[in-house]
Amino acid sequence: MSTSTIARIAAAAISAAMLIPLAACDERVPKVATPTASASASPVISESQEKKIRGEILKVLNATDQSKDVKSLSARVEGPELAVRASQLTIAKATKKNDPHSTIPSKISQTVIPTDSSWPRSVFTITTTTDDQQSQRLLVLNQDSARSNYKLWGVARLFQGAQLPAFEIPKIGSSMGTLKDTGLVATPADAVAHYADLLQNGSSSKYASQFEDDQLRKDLATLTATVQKGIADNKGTQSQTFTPQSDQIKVMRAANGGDLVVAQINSAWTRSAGEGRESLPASDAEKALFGNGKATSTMKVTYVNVIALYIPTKASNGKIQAVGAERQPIKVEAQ
Amino acid sequence: MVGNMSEINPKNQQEAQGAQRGADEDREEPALFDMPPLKPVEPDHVVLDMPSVDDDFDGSDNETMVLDGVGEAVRAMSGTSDVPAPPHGGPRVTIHQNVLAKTDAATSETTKHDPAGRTANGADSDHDAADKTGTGETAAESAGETTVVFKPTDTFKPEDNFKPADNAPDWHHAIFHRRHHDHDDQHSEERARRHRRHVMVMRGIVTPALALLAVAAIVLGWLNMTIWKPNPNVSVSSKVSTRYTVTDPGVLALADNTVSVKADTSAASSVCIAVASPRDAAGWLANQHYTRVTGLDTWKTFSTETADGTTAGDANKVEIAFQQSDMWYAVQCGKGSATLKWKDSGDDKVVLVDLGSGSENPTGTVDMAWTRAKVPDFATPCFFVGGLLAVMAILTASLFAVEQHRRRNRKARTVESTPVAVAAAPEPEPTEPPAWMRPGSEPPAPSGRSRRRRHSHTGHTRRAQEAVETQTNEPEVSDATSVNLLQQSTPTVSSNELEEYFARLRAESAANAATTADSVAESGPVDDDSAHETHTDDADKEAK
Repeated sequence: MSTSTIARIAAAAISAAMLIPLAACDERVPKVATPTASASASPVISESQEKKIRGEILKVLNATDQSKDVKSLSARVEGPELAVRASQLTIAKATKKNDPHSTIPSKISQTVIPTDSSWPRSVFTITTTTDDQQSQRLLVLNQDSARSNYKLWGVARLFQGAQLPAFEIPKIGSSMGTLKDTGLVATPADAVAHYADLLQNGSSSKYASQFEDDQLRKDLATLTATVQKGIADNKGTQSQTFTPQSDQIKVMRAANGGDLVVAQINSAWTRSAGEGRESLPASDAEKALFGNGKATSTMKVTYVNVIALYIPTKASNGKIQAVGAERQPIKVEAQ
Repeated sequence: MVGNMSEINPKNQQEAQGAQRGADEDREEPALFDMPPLKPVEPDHVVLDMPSVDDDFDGSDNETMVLDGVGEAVRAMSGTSDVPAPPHGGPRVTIHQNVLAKTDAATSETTKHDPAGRTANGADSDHDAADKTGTGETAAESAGETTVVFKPTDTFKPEDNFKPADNAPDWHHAIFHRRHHDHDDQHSEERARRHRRHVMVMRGIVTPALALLAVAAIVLGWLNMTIWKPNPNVSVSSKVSTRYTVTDPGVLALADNTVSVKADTSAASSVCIAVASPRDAAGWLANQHYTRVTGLDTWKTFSTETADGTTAGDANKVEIAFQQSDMWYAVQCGKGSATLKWKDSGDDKVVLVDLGSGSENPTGTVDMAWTRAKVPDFATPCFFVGGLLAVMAILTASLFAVEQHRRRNRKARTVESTPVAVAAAPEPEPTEPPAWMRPGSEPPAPSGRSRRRRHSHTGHTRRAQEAVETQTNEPEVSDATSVNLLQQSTPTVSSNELEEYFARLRAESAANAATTADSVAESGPVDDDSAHETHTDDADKEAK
């Protein structure tokens, strides 16, 4: 058989075989393609969802700002912010004006969305500066479980000139940290505890070398000194104790490996007036909170402090830096 | 006269030569042609002896040596029927010349290729063997294909005398391979027949088959375009018996991105449908028993299975309503039934259906209806295949059927042009040496294969090689009566070869003469002169 004949036969066979795929013309039921990209690596919510959530929260906040109804806060506020907000509302009701510190702008400059599949989840959002040029606010939106909604858990006013670490863009998402993150200068739990000690003891704290100076400590020092002068005149005493709340810490991992920690530190300021004087509320806020209480020689004011710490990695050999704080008296009681 | 050549002593050889050339006494060739006797070949092999007017050795100059293909012409002219016509006027050249004198038509004309008799050069044995087998068939098939003019007598045995010596010049060997030329004559006839059968098969069977297939493919394509066009609407439904139903990732956009999800239940509870991410849906379904939609079972029903959600932690937290959750991308609720339309990408999203908490064991149905924007196109491949088959049918009818023929035509065309040129050149100038004797011209070889072999033997570079290469097997029409056929026949030896041989011959003879001159001193100068003359002659000849 010559090669040309073979070629002919092959060509005929191939052209006949070309019609066989026509038999597959019956359409097949589509199959579900198993997704190849792992869903766990994606952000838990989108930016538009975050905006919607924040809008809901702000709606509630604005409504309660108007109505001064503390009870309706719990729909969208929880954690330390709930205490702070409630106090602010109480004070606003008494003083007939809202605390300007409580203003939360509706625009944001950055949002950090986690990729964790589990609950609770927290979203860190940094707003713009307020209309009256106050500093930016760091909002922590927290979802406790799948069957609950996102609520405003904490707000920290950022210090002027504070340097926040860089985070992944919301489309990629960051991962949340744990209380015992390693590789850092200190674990988040330790950092909060040390900072509380630092706040309490000042520069004589044994952890003073771990921290950079920050505005909160400066303000506190100034306040304490001022009050001290007055108390010394009265031969009184004052003391402050700071107690970290270990279950109220939210950690978010930054892009460079460090952690941004938002934690609640309760503090109690006990002022005793000497020489039988009364210890009175030191400010309008304390006055509002004290309400119609009967002053004694000792007054104890309970504060809720929300602080934001940036913990660098151990390799960077940096110091822990407080980047923001919120300090709100929530209870004033005569002891 | 021609006994065993090996026993002939030189003296007898001289006598034998003289005897062989007895019939050629009217020859006027110079000593140039004083060469060893050529071995007689089979009558169907062309043997070129030196130009002799009496080519058919019948004692007269009236040559009836014929070529195949012109047998009829010759017969017409000479009126003889001695020349058997070839069965078909295939292009084949066979020149029969019997070198030796005194041959008569004793033996039959069927002494054709005698494979046993021919012993070829060692280098050509393979080719000869192939030729023998091929030509054996052709010889069997076409009796009388070759015109045998002269049959060898019984007096001499071709095998003995016609075998070229091993040290014979190349063109000796080439001469004896003319039978390959004849083989090709028969082979080309065979090829022509096969080609006609091939054309019949191609045009009669393959083309209609391909055309039918092409028509079938085009009809199928038209059907797929109109009647069998896939339905763009896909509507699937399934019954569920749990409160929650969730689809697997990928089901939402199974057929298209545009989907309408509908859920209804018999109880008058609030039915909600939501689109969520798989993680959020899984979180919502913790501690729940639900139905999982895994895919399409048929075009009308889902494939489902029941599952339980992962156990979650404390459930004492205040739970929000299904509709209130922040996690859904979209949610629609209704009483008794709900419909949700989704248009965005749904590859990574799932549908979560809540039949409400109205009844303890709610039952309902979940429907999903897609509207496909892009429907699979089955018509285009059918049309494409139909077009290909149509092209193939046309090709088999036209190109493939005539390919070889056209190829042959191409060769014939080129060959016809050159023989005409070759024939035209000598014809108007019969006195000039034939084309093949001109220096640098290329004689048409008996066959291309032998030509190549000869080329490999001689290693010469040929000019006009291509044109003459194609001259094989083509009829070289020559008017037998008008010109000296010897001049325009198809000699096998080129002038270069010839001259080279002559030069060698002269050199040898000069050397012989020189040796004899050395022994005989007085005849030295004369011989030297003659040697010089021959040498200069050679130089002149070679310089041409």
